[in-house]
Amino acid sequence: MAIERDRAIDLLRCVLMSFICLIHAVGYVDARCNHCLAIISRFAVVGFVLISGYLGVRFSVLKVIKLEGTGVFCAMVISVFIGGEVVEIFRSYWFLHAYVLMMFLAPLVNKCLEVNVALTNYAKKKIVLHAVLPCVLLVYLWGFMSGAPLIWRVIPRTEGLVPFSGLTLLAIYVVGRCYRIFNLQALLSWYKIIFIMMFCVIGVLTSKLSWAGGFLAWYNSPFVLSFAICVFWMFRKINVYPFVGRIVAWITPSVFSIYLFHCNKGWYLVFDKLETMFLSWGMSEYYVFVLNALIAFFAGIVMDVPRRILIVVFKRPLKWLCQMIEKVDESVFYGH
Amino acid sequence: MGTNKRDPGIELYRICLMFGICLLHCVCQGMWRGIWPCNLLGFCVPGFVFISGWFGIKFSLSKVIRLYSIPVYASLLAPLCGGVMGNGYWIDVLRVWDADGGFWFIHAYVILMLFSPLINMMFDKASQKEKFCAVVPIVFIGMCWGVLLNYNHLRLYIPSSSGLESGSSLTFMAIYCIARLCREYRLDEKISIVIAILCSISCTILLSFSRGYFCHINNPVCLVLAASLFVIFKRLEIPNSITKVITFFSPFMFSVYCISGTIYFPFTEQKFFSVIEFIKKSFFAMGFSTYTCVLLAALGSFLIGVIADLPRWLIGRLAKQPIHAFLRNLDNKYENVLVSFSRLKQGCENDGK
Repeated sequence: MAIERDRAIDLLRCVLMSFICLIHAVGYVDARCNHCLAIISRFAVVGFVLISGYLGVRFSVLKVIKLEGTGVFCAMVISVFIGGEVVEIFRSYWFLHAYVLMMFLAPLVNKCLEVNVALTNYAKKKIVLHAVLPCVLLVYLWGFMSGAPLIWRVIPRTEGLVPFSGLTLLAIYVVGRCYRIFNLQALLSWYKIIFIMMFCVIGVLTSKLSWAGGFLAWYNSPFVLSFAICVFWMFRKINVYPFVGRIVAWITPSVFSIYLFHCNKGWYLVFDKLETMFLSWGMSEYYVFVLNALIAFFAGIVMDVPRRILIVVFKRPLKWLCQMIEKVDESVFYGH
Repeated sequence: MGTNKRDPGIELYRICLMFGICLLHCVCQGMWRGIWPCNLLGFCVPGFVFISGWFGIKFSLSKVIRLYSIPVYASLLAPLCGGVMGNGYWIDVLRVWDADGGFWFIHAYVILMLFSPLINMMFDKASQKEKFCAVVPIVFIGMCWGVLLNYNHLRLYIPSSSGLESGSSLTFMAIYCIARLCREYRLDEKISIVIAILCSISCTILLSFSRGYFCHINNPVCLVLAASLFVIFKRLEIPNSITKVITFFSPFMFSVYCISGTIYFPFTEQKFFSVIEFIKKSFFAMGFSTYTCVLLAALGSFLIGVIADLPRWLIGRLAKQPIHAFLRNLDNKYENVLVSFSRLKQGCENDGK
């Protein structure tokens, strides 16, 4: 688990969040859910979990409280200043809750992979695959196929295998862990990456066809996952300039809040008003979507400033509280 | 884990649980919906998963295929029922495969099977602390977070995510982990039969008068009842003559569930009518009391399950060798894929060095 922050990964987080803003700027109207800009951008959500998998998530109660606490704060801000009920807004953050669910399951995956990764013989490595493969196949074969046209009628359906579930995020997390453990960075090259990306774009855009029904471009699609892996690979190759690094370092703590601020019914009203205004100015639809996404991104950063100031102001009591929870965490889960 | 010798007490427990599930199917919909034993029978499903956790699941492709062969057979029987009872059953055959259809248990169980290597590895290789760190969150998800979402007043304030429902695989994973822990700490030896009986009585009282609040599958009370009954049945000394009967019925239990799940499912969306409803109404028309009708319908669906599964069982016995050879071949191929994959990775690492 990295202690020193990797600026390239932080930059990737910012880029992915801007794409997530684009997904919502386009797809906040249900009818536009299958718009090509929205479906192409879906790799961003997968990319976020892939980063978590690559860096590893260490389960702690403190992290869960921090995440859910940020969710409550953002829901309150949106409710007070824009509109909507706090509870309703908070409950609508599917990614937050699914991510927390994934965090709960992460220790199981972590331990399994850590125990066996140091071993070299075939049999023991096979154990890793034996444990990991079914979990990935569950989402990327069963979950994915249950959305396929015609076939879905005969594929068994069960709770939690939808693209928005904790199990889907767990499978992506496992892929992220495997990326690191099996050193996928060294196995891929630019030629392979470009080929895979082109293939994935074609695959994802196929879901625009009427028969496809959109299933090729959801979060449990192998095309979306492969595209996200390629983007991740590219960013691991990037050297971030110190100036850019400083900006990224300043934005990164607000990245998750950006999602929480704009992904709710309250902000969708803002999207709607802005869209109407921009269209009345004669702007094309694509410009409007991109502009809306950028506004949501920067507005998220600005709206998160009070939270960051509050954290600085109440640094001492918060630090004390965090230490208390951490102590409980350590003694319960990680103490010897 | 994975012992071939079966404990007759546990097999009897499985038969009782299956009868409980048949009874549950009789009282949870249609005529007399929600009458008394409905609340109490929530422990039957956790009981099954608890048994699996106690003995451990070893994942293999052949097991998944074997498992799914039963619901496929049961689905094929459905049109037959449709032919007897009325028209329009073909579409509903596929609806049985839905998440809310008759076979939800199997799908969730298969997901548990897929995760079982991970959980087993945790129990076999990790230290006590690491085990605790991995198991507590899973149990929290299945037996706490999911449970709170069952209550109308609380669910509005608690974050929800797909997969936290009472009949989900995460619930099964939690029960499986608890059962493995119980085995590790030798629950059956540490708890006396008197305590187990007292525990089951108190849980039964709690469930009986809970008005549906505790009867969800993911409720800890149901799990405690299932675990204490498991301890009681495990200690039972069963005479040989009864063991023979148990041994005969035991292989059909899963089929009984599937077939009972199929015939329990309503024929059409417009008209709520199923085979179980037909049996209940027929007995009621004969002048039997409500509870007698329900019991007879449950017994009927149990026996229909056993009888209807006989042809499948017979075919399985006759074609035992080719089926076994095919499944063994499949398992070997799966193993080979894993071995070749790990060789490939090792080759890459060696190149890198």
